Amino acid sequence: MTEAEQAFEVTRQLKILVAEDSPIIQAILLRMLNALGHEIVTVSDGREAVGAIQANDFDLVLMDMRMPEMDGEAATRSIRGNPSDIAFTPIIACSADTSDEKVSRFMNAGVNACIGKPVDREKLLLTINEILDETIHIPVDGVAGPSQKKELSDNADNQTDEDDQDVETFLESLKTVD
Amino acid sequence: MSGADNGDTDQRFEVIKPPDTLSKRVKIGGPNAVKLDGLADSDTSFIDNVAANYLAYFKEDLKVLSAAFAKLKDAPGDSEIREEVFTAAHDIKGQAGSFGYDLITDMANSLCRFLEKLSTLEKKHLEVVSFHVEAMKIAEAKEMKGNGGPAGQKLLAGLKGVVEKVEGT
Repeated sequence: MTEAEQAFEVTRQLKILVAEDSPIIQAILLRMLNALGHEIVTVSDGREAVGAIQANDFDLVLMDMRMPEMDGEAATRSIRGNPSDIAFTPIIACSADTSDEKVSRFMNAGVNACIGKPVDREKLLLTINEILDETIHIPVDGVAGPSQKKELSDNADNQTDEDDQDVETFLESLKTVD
Repeated sequence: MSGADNGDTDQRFEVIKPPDTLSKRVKIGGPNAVKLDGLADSDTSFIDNVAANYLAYFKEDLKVLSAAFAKLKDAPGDSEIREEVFTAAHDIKGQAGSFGYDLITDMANSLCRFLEKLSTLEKKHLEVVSFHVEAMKIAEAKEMKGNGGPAGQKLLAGLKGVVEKVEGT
């Protein structure tokens, strides 16, 4: 079943730095945010993020925490340690690991909030509102379009006896573990 | 902030302003940047292409995970190789659910959580990693979308059970 995404009105356009090494996640975030009219700059590692933030006035940074060269924690600490106003740029950590321990580490590094991957569009937009302390994104009646994430059914109807047999064989193999 | 961080930064980036087609908007620096060459004139954006063919991308990610795991079996004490396995699973977790493959994200998450709790890697732990890789291969082969349906949920429950069993020993 195809589900629809919540529509949002945007009160002002933001300039957002997306630091993310996965080209697929970059493209997903770009699509989410660009569709709302925000201006996006993308970089692929923490070192590039630190460079980009020094050369631009960003309203916000979305920071992947696992990146090559310089990870998100180090980049965040570097930004927070900058003697200029860029040290106060709001940073949202994006991570597939949102365990309490990791979130605590990210917060200690200086991020303002942490969201998990896969990124939930609505949660991201509302988190942006929260950390900017401003209603940038207003949920409105209507839909923004089909949800990419939810449009795939669980294909339960298509599963065959052969599928069941393969799964059962796999489950049997699990019993060999001591 | 260190002076090195300020001075040595490689500033490869480009401002992207809406509205435009995605393929024209994306121009990203870095070795892993989005490569949209050849897609600029396509009606299908990069992300639509990925969404439509996610399992093909996942298959490649599974190869990376399998290759890292093969190395780990030969050197279970090597923390760098273990990190490779973790990173491969971590990447799968972050991407699969974005395209509606929640079961695969859940399997990858189970593997990440299992690995991060271990101080040393014994044979039984390698078996659990192996089961996660095999379960993901089944999910890929059976094209298990969403939560995978009853068969997918059985796989996930099986993984959860074996993790609990090994962690409890």
